[in-house]
Amino acid sequence: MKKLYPLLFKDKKGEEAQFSSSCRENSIISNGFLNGNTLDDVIDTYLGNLLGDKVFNYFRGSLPYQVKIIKDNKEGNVIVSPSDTTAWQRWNCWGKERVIYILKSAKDSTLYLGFRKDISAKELYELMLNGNIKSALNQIEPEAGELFYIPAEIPFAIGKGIEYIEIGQNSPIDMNIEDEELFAEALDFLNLNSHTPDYSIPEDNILKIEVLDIEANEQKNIAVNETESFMYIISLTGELIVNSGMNEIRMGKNEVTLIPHEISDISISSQSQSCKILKVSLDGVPKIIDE
Amino acid sequence: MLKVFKYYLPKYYEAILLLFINIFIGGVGATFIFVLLYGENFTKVNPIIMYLLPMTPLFIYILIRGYIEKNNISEEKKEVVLNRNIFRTIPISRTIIIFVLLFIATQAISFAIDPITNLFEIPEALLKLYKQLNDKNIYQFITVVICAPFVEEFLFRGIIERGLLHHSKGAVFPIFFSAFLFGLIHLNLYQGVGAILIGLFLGWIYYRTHNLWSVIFIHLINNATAYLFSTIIPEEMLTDSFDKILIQYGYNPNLYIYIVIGGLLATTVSIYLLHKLLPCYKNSFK
Repeated sequence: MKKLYPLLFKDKKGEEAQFSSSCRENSIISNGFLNGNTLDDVIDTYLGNLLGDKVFNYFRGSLPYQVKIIKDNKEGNVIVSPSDTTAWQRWNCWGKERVIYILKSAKDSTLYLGFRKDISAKELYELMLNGNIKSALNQIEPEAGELFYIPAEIPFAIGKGIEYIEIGQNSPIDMNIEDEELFAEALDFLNLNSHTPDYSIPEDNILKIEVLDIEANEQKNIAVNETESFMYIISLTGELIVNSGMNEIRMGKNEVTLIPHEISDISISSQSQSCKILKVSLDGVPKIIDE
Repeated sequence: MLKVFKYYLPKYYEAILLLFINIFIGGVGATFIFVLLYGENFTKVNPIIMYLLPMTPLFIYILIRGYIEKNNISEEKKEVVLNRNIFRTIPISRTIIIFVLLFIATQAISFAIDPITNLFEIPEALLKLYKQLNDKNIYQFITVVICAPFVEEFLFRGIIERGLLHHSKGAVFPIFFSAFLFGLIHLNLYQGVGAILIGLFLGWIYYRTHNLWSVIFIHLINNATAYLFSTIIPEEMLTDSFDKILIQYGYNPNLYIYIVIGGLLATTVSIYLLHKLLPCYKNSFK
């Protein structure tokens, strides 16, 4: 089998034009000999070589976390996603926790995250009927460079004028609780307690995200194979060259590449100015397996 | 018991009432008790008691109001917590940088505002107190550096500013008004003007963090520095302004100007960085 290389993805214009770049399981690879295949197909072929054996087995062959980079964001609805346990029981799929990294935020833009104080189902139902759920949520004015951890079962909405990267579990269940029908369905698992928004990922979480600086003309080496997973590299501020030994790719600003697990290490460099990147990886798999 | 405070959200007129209770019932009442018990020697009372006793009627009042609001079933129950544990939710490195900046800003502000506080004469009574501080009494240290930050931050930020922020649309007026009351309670211009200026900083930090520990930290650093300063300089220099003290120690007269300008610059930079680094909740007090 041919050796894997850092994968880039085609922007899916039209259908879901809000993503400026994304890596999801149905994303289409745009570089190298796998050009034109979906990520899903490549996972089915390369299995643990792509995801890492432990990760591949635990996540039952599906891409565990996906990346969306969202640029022209409209005022979002209040969304909530179930936990893994609930999602497997009801929908036979993964639940969703996610991390939002703020690229840009217009003045007075608002991120809504978690209830400000404990709320009863009755109070919330009334707010939903009045189209006013957002008033019960914490309202945050985010700054570029801030990161928010959004656990499953915690409602959130992303206001107008925020450009962000979402790194979330691969799950189709996003429930808009401003919709009456979905509200009723989500109420069973929605966390109605007050929640203090988290600006960092909890220590014991397997998802690890680091912001790294690449100085101009510097070459940063990152080991991939010795971790237990694949890796995402997301360029935040400029253009990058990612070298995996056999292959070299060029990345534009706010683009994502998936580094397969079998690559031993990569070197990242920025030719012109200094550059920030996000390094996303998994530290093993969750300890307790819900069956 | 402490949770009952979150239900008491004073409006502007109530904030003034709180100050009246403190000065006229607490202050006068406590003085009466001290004079009754100790006569002429009432200044010898343990400073911790001397500080806390006048505050007691106010705390009892706030507690009663809290209970009344909590059991008020006729209206929709309003509540705003006194303290949000935000530092648990941001990365530890960011927390450390924030506290370093709070420390720098506190010190820088006291240098930057020195020319303003200098305009006012140090009152006799305060001078007496400063001279007592020179005795290096552990109880005085506890009063100034521990009790005052806890009690005053609880009162001016935790109760008053929190209530005003809840009832007002913007943040500017609540911050100014609570800082003004904070200055007023010192009952003299020399400390009062400085207290208003540092109170604005404290008020802004509490508005941004909704965290009492951060403002207690600032207050503690500020008082500890003042305490340290008053213990290390000789008694006869206590009435002198900072610029004169520098000259007496043989420094270049221009040094004072550099220190003030440096303080202004450091204040501006640290406040800008704090503005960028502190989480920004829009409706934390609603």
